[in-house]
Amino acid sequence: MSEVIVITSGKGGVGKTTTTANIGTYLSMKGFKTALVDTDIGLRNLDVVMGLENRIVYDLVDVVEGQCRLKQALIKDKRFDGLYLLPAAQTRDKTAVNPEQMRAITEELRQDFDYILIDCPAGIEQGFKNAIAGADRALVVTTPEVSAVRDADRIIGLLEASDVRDHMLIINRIKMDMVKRGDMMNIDDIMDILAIDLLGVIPDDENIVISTNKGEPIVVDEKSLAGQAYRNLTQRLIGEDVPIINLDTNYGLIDRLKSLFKISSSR
Amino acid sequence: MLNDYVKIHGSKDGLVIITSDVSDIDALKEKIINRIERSLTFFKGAQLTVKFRNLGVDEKSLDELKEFVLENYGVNVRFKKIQERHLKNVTSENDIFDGLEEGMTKFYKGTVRSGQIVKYYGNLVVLGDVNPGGIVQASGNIIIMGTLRGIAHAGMSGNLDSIIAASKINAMQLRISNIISRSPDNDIEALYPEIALVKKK
Ligand SMILES: Nc1ncnc2c1ncn2[C@@H]1O[C@H](COP(=O)(O)OP(=O)(O)O)[C@@H](O)[C@H]1O
Ligand SMILES: [Mg+2]
Repeated sequence: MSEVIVITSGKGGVGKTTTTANIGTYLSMKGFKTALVDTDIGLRNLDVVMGLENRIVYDLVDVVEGQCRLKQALIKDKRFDGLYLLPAAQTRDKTAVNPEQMRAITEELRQDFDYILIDCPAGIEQGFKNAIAGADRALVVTTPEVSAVRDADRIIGLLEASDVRDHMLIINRIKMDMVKRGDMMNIDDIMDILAIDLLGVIPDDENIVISTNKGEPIVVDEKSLAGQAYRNLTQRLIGEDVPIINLDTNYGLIDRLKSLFKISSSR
Repeated sequence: MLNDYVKIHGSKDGLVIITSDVSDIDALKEKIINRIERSLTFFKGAQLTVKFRNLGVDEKSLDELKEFVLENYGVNVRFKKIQERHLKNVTSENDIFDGLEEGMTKFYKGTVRSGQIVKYYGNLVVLGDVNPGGIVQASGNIIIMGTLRGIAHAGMSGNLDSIIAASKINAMQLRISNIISRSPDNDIEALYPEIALVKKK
């Protein structure tokens, strides 16, 4: 049985592409046949993060327009068997594809893959609608910033309105030292507003930037905490019972109590 | 006894009398005059809207009554006929909702998220949160069994007596009828249930 999972956020730059690359890579490391689909037409970069940029011959729009078969456009990953990328076109825009065509492509991919991950562009327009068209589930990525959480909330509403009700949250780029100082929204604050299930929390880690630039997802790095966070998160995604990685999350609760006292005494 | 079923309240339509079924023009005339005479100075020069359910009074008699009141009391009357559905206290865009104590109520289950609008021409109960960027609107009261972080607009068609209540109010804006109040810029987090209403002077 295959699953189509869209990785979405509303706001740009919060880590959708990074998340798609890491989850996809780890799924294939665990032996699942996995296809990554970049729907960010005109601003593609999943190929870069995966280090596959120089192998692109055909892309998503070519498939839709019948310039090639789907299988011809799929690029095989250089490290892992069973991992493939369907890149976005760079010279076109989001209107080059419509939701029906996306649904047809995901249906075709289901024949050959266990997991199909759709990397969604930012925004709520056509690109978003294309990305969610064939999805069974959604992973909503946010960072601990008010504006990103606001956009995630908007996206969750739109997902529900489009009948993608199976959705979970990923909080990316959390900095525990900032949370401890009360300078950053903590996990409880975010969960309070968004009120959906938490799939995982990824720490802010500059090694992610380094690995992204090298085209090597951090999940491969055994020693990295961020890599561990992605591994745990992926395991939970496929139904394995692993705890959410401990990033000192207890501080969330303590902080809350402290600020409660602060407020009540100032009234 | 007549006054038992004559309700009066102020709104953006001026003064409003809501009365029940009217089948006889003389009875209606008596009701209106009775009411005006009890507080003449109050009504003088005012715009008065009379709402009723018409059971057979013709337009001509209504026009004559309108003339009569204007001439004798200096009050400008406007008649508004209440539709069948209004009897259940569901109003439309422009009608003032009079079911604050007892009237049609919508129960909305779930979170009202950013970009979503939940609107009802009656009272509205939200069984969930209203998030920043989310909007709830009702022509009557709004009760939120969660945290209000977005915008709530009660009495949207002009009822100043409507209220907004929530388990926690951290709202961006509260609106009752045409009165708007926004949250202070250095917002303190709400800790207990609160009710918002318009202060009577
Ligand atoms: N947990 C993290 N720690 C540090 N940098 C990150 C993290 N997640 C993402 N980034 C960086 O943020 C930038 C945007 O990430 P990206 O995945 O491209 O976002 P999106 O696809 O949502 O636009 C990239 O430069 C990426 O390396
Ligand atoms: Mg991206």
